[in-house]
Amino acid sequence: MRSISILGKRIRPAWLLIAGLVALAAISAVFEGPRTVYAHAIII
Amino acid sequence: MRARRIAQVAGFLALNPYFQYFGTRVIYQGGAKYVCAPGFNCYACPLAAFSCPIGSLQHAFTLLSPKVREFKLALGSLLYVLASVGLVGAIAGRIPCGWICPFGFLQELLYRIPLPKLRLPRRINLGRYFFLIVVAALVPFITAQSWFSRLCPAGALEGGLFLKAVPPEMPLPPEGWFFWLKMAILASFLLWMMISKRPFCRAVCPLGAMWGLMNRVSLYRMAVDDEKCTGCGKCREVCPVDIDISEDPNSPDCIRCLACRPACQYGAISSGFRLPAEGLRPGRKVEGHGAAEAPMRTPPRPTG
Repeated sequence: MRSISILGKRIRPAWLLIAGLVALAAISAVFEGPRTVYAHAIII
Repeated sequence: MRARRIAQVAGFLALNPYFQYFGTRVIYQGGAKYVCAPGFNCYACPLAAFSCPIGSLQHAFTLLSPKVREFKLALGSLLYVLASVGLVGAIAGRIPCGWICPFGFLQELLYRIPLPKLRLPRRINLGRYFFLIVVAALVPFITAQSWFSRLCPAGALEGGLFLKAVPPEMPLPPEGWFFWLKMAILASFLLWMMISKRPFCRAVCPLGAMWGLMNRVSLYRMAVDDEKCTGCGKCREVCPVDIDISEDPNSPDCIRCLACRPACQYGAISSGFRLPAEGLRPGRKVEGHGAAEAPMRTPPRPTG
């Protein structure tokens, strides 16, 4: 697993993955993801 | 080793801090339950503060099921769980398995019981992908029921047994044959844990399956210097999941407990956030900050 080059800068894929996952978490909030998880967790 | 034991006890207490339950007999319903736990910990446990990521994942698939069709909620919770689990994995890989997970800790304690031991074949590690894809995703999608959670030994122990021992304010449903089936599964796993190294983590855990895949790309890296490694097998001896780290330092099976690092008398194993992303190759030395995190010494090579 090597680093990849973006706009001439070498970057580790993990950083891209983290950025993507943070964006995913933000999108999930729009669709009430955390609220759904919470609602399920307290009625279990 | 001692630091890891302290971390595991702290991890158990951090994930299960709601001791007020013994007074109130009402399960915790605070804001922390919005957050997926960084470990395999049942949210039916009265002391649990966080959500179980696998329980939440299954719930997302039940919402997606043709029998329920709550697509918006399903999409939201699915993205949220994947992002939560993924973020931990992208940073640390399976470190939470080795340092935080209460169920992993229990397995290590039970393995210390002096009984004849059973070494598991390597292919059993594929089982956790089956449980992730089929039992935790496909079955809930088809049946609209969280079957993994319903049969989960961690749930039976932390939720089922605990709630029987210290009942909540609301009356529990009567014990049927299903309760005893869960107890039988739990008993089988407890017995297995006494004779094999962390069998649930290796053969079943869907959370470990997801984090294990992230071991390949995570910021935290493991590396083995092939020049120093003599293949003595000491690392495998101390490994709680019975793997040879020198074969694949960032293997999905490695729980990153780091027990192998001090056990290696040749200092061949290193780890850290700043290791070269591609790991070490034969003939290469550790460079940069990773070397400072894991100082290596060069012992006399065995001769003869």
